[in-house]
Amino acid sequence: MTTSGDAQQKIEAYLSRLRQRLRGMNDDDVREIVEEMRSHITDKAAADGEVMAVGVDAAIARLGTPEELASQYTTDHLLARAEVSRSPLRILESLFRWASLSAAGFFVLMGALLGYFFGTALILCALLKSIHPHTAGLWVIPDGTGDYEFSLRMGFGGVPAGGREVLGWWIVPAGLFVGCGLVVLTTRFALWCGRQYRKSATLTLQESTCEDWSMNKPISAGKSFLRLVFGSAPSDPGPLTVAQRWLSLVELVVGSAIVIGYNVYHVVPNEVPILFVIGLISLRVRDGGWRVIGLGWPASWRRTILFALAAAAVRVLLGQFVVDPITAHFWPPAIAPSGSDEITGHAMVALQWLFLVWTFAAFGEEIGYRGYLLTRAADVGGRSKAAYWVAVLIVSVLFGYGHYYKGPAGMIDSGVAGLVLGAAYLLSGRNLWVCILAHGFIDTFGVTMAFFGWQS
Amino acid sequence: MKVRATGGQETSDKWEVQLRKGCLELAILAALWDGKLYGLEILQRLESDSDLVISEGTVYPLLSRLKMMQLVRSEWVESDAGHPRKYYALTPAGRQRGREMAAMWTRFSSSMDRLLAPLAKGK
Repeated sequence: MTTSGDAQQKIEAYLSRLRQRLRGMNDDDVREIVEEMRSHITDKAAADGEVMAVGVDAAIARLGTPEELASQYTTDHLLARAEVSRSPLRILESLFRWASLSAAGFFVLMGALLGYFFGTALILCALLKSIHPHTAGLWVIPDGTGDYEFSLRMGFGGVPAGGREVLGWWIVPAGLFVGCGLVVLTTRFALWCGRQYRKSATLTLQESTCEDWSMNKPISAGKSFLRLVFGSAPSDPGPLTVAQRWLSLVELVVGSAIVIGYNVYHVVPNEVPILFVIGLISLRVRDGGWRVIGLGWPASWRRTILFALAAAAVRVLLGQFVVDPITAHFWPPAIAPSGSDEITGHAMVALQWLFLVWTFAAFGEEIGYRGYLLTRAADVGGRSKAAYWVAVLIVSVLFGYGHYYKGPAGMIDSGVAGLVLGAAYLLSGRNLWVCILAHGFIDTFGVTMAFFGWQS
Repeated sequence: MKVRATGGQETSDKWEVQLRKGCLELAILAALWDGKLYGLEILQRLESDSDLVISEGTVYPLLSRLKMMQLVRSEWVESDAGHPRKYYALTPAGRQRGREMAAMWTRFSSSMDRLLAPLAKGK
């Protein structure tokens, strides 16, 4: 059997696109799928012992686009694998992918994380009781205001002042029983949700027609490079109507008012959770999902992480060697967040800060600022390339105001951080994971510095 | 809100798709009953004996899921065409599952036939 060069090229283009869409699956599985598709297309296209370009086109049209094919493999495959293995790690892996596809998946993921977290905490506490018999367990501790708080203690510290242990040694059987029960229930709940989802998802996937997927579109060198690095950018639904642009402007103004209202005038609650929730709802309702801000499954996690590391390095170096020295001429140094001075030498405090940094700062601020406000600002300008860059500028100013407590030097520093994160967002083809990870890396670096007392 | 005037038409299409999809798994198990086949052979078998296949792209992910559930196993075999092909064969569990599904199908379809008899006779 001979294959014409043209046909060979078409097959390779289709397969490489498919391979890219299957990233996130295990390498061996991807290789199997790609080889099987190669064999299928070759066999299907072979007429009179020769594989011609026309035959390849027809075979590919019958298969559907690489995106469709890959999404069937990934959702079907991952949920099925999770179902067979029942391992929490597998389940979380598939939930994570599902969360990137739909709001339902996001909530199931959050629920599962919560369930697994409390389950493992209880099991850990029960196990540590034998090592720390006097300090581990469930405690009731009076807090400063005269109220009481429950505390599940691992026992690494001392006896809390005024605290009383509630369960005593009963924490061992109770913790193990309730903890294991939570893990099992969470697993069953997640699998049940997954089955419900698959029932509806297979329907919609089946319905989409398999239009001819043309691979001969010329792509400019710059674009093809970015595509190579990041896969295709989130697709735009088309031009926005005037009404939509006005609505986006209103959202942007309200968002800005919330940022300034909290940080400058302290008349509204903290802006980060508010923007996070409003943003997710607005994007869901108006844009039909969060893919539009780049929260979809990245083509490559490795490249996403590398890009984020680079952005974090640029931000840290820029702050240390350019912004700080300049602002030092005019203003006193930036004020650190309150309580951050306690990090030095205290591992538990540092861990609490890291938790806050990765949830509140990395996820919360990036989805609120770079994801939501930036998209709405770009909406106003019709989502053109220039509109996005102007939006980065506007949101960076807001981001500076979001750190009002840090004083002028800190606000400028944060504004510059906003510019770096915004630029990373656009240069990565609007992949919000880059911003989330970069933000997390930057703040992790800060916490680490504070822990070792290296801050100047 | 995705409410459309053609709601009735859409629901019936959905039903048909759902019906085909539901049967596809059994159809694949049945196609493999007499021995191992590779993907395209399974497709050709399904196409000649039924009109279940809408898009060829749906069959391969389904095969991969059946493999994950250990209902089928697969092996790569060198072919005369010059490239290897991935052959699928039923596992004992797949055979068992096929038998169960076929029995269910027979029970179900005969009772449906009885129910539908008046619809087929009258116009």
